[in-house]
Amino acid sequence: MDTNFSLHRILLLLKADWIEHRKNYLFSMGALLLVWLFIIFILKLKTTDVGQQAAVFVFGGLVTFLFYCRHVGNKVHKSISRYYTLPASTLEKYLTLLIEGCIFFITYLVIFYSGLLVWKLITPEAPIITLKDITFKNGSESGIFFLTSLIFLSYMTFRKHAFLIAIAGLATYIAVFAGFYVRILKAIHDNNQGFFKSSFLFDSFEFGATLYTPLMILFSVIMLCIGYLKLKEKELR
Amino acid sequence: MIQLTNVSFGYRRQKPVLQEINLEIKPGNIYGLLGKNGEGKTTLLNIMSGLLFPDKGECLVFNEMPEKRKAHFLQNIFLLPEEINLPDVTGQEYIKMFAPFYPTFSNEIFEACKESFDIDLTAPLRKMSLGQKKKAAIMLALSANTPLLLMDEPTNGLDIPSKSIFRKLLASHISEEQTVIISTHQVRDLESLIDSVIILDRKEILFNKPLDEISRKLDFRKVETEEASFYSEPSPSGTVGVVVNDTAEKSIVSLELLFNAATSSASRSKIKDIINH
Repeated sequence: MDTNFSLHRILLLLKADWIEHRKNYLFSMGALLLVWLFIIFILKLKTTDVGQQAAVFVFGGLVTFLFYCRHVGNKVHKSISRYYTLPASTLEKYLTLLIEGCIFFITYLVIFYSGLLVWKLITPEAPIITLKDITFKNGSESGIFFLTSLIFLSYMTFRKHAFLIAIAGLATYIAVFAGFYVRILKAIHDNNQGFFKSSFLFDSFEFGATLYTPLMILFSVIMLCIGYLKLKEKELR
Repeated sequence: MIQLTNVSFGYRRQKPVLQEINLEIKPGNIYGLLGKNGEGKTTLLNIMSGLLFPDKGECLVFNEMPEKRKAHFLQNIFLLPEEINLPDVTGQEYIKMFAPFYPTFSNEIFEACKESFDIDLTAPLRKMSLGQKKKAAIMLALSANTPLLLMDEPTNGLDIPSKSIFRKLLASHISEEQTVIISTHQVRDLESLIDSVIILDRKEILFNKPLDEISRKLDFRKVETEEASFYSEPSPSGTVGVVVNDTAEKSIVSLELLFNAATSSASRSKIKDIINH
């Protein structure tokens, strides 16, 4: 029997987290609902514009995600002796953090749709967006998975300014990538080579594009694994 | 139960806190881990609980390496740190949060602690004084009833009656199978409580012996100025010192005198030799 992994202990960790932070959670949920209702009733969403609802959904999702990351950061960096000496394995503690992330997201969905349902009751002609309406294009889901994993890892790693560090890291990465891309294009131009369909370069770029989604998912999973190792490392004061 | 072999540890290279430490802790005893400030008592407890890795050597607790920090291993030890970081909850919620993690948790001990310490567990911990917070943390530590209990300066912040209650609770609720290691620099707090004493000085374990054995080898009493004693110091009732016990009777060990004698440059090596041989 693997005594180093137990669902019961994960439930205990979730319960302990709820006992400790429930006031904070309930307050934040209430505040989020009030802000959402304020947006719906005071700013009055255009009854036919699902795009506006989608924008609010994405913004709200980002705020919820950053709230979650801050919660993870506080847990990992501040309550060291208490959290790390709890009789649960690192894997159980890490899975609990990820499960909490799912719970945060589900709670956010419930609050978002509760607001919309109230709006629908008052304004029957109002549309309600579905998750399908918010579907991102051209593999952006994997890009968002990558970005959220990067920010999550940054909060696990850095005690302060984790969000800024993640964004700065991403900006540097994009800048380097863009610089590299421009250099290649310039080299092609200087050599008077065309970038025609079926050329080797075109095929290479095409191949690279097909790899985009799996690579993004792979990098995201790697970052989540690094997050686990970071938690393990933090256990050693 | 605990076996440290040639363990060295330093927070910085070239500056070891512990050097080539060898220590064996047997089950069923209450050990007093004594040492001056900054001698590495907390570091040693952290190594035993798996919070720190030795740089060299090996540490085995229940025949396991603590740094692996397996869940079942952590269920068998409870570390009460000196600086307690309690959550923003009430005393009751605090116990409710952590008690289920310890299969050995005893409601009976918890009730006895609650009655003896007389603290209002319905009050939020953040509004409690340092002493009350410490009592809440001690309640959980004792009630967890783990086979190994590591306590780092547990009496810091407690008032005099509470220190006495703490001693009584520990003495009455620790079973014969349990091992307790209490680190402190306030040696008087441990008198009449511990079975064995470990003195940590200048990066090494000076000795680790049962009080019984020490009391047969050394005598702690009033000494005349011309009398040959290893160590002496003035006290309100005259000069007191440490001498060889050449009678067949056991002496009453004064932990404070023993500690002062063992850590004093003049008497350190003599005391070490007599106790270890």
